[in-house]
Amino acid sequence: MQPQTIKKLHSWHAWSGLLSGINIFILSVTGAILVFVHELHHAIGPELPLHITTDRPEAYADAPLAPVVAAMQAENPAAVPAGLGIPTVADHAEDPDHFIYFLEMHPADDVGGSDHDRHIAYFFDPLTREFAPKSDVVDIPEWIWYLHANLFLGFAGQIFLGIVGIAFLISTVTGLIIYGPFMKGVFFGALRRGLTWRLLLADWHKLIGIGTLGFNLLMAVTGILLTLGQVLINLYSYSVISSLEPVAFEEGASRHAIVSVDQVVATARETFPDKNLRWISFPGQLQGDHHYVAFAYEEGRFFSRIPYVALINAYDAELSLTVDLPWYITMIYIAVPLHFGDFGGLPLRIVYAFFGLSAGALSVTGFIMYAIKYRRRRYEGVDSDVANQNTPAASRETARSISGGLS
Amino acid sequence: MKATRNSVPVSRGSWPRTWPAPVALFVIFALGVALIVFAGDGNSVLSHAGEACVAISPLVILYKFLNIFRRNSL
Repeated sequence: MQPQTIKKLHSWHAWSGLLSGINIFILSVTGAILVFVHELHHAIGPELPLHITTDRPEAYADAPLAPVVAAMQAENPAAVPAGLGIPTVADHAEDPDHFIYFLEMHPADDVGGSDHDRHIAYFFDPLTREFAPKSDVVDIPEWIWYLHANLFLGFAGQIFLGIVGIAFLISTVTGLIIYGPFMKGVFFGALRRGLTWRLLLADWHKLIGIGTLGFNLLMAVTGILLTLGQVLINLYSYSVISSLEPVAFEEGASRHAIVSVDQVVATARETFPDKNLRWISFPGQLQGDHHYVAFAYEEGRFFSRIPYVALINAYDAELSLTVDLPWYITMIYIAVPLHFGDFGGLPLRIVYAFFGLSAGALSVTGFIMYAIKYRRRRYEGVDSDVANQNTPAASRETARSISGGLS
Repeated sequence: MKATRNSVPVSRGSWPRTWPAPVALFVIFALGVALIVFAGDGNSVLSHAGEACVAISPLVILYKFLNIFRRNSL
């Protein structure tokens, strides 16, 4: 490889790392914490305002939901139901405390549900018809989640983090390419002690970077999918909706004319008899005003993240369409467990947390190395470190040939 | 192989000495992810084998890190 090429790649590596560094550090630390989000919820999460105490979760399969949804709506006349979460028997087996129904409501004037601060959430028990609003206590795990997912900036933050992910991917790939020339003749994991801090940091930076290469590539790619993939999901949703036949309904019919959620649940369960129905999205969301959308999932920990989707007519509860997700949308859903590591047991999650912190360590070591080099260039006007950088004879030759002081 | 004044094991100009370990780590990690994805439900022998493969890369770094304390010096 030509010295100029290596220099150019190093420049890409440094600048992409510097531009994404602070965000990667935040994502690294919050990601390592979020790997244990279930344990965190148990330890420091706010207590659920309502519990369903039952030994027979099967008894809830036919529980009517519409009366209690109507009661919650009556308490908030300015809001409309947006989504309804349905727990499964498997949820009860995993954690009885989290076998709870959930209703999310949006202000009627918040088209698309983008104003998260005004959303209202209720937990409820459809058999006793008790319901309670979500606690106002700061939910620290949820706070960390939003910091990691969108920096509290909603969709814009998600897109920004997608761009950070691309910079991280560039930094990782260019780091891999320039690893060879700098390690020429040096054994894997060699650490030069007794010289300068910068050289030791550089060696650690290379060791951590190359040792976690696979993981960091995985995180970068799945992170990009999960952030920028939302745009694809939105576009695909619009294309599905626009492909539907126009729904026949009377002019001036109001949203009160829509069928009850129980009829929709019945149709969805009939459509996906061997799947777990988990979420019903009410008309007025991404799918437009004329359909409910039902999301059902398989059992299991990995492919259980891929939804089976059905659009159900809001005026007669007939099935309008089952959606066959294209491969690129399926990839986005598969990226979720790969990114968060929650598809395995505790040992895998510990490994994920350790790996996760490595990206933060790369950001810190990379930044310190750059700061030392910048200071030296600024105040001394030379970069005397270059010749010593790759002290083994073979790589010193490489370092001499690359002017400009690479690390 | 010889040791330089900086105690870095060197093999003159031999790039292959640089690459086998990182390539092996990457292949093992990728194999681990592939096994986990292929196994699907997260509880099978294949899945646990995948998790073990994924766990190998950080162990190498951890070993080097712990080695610092064994030598009692940075």
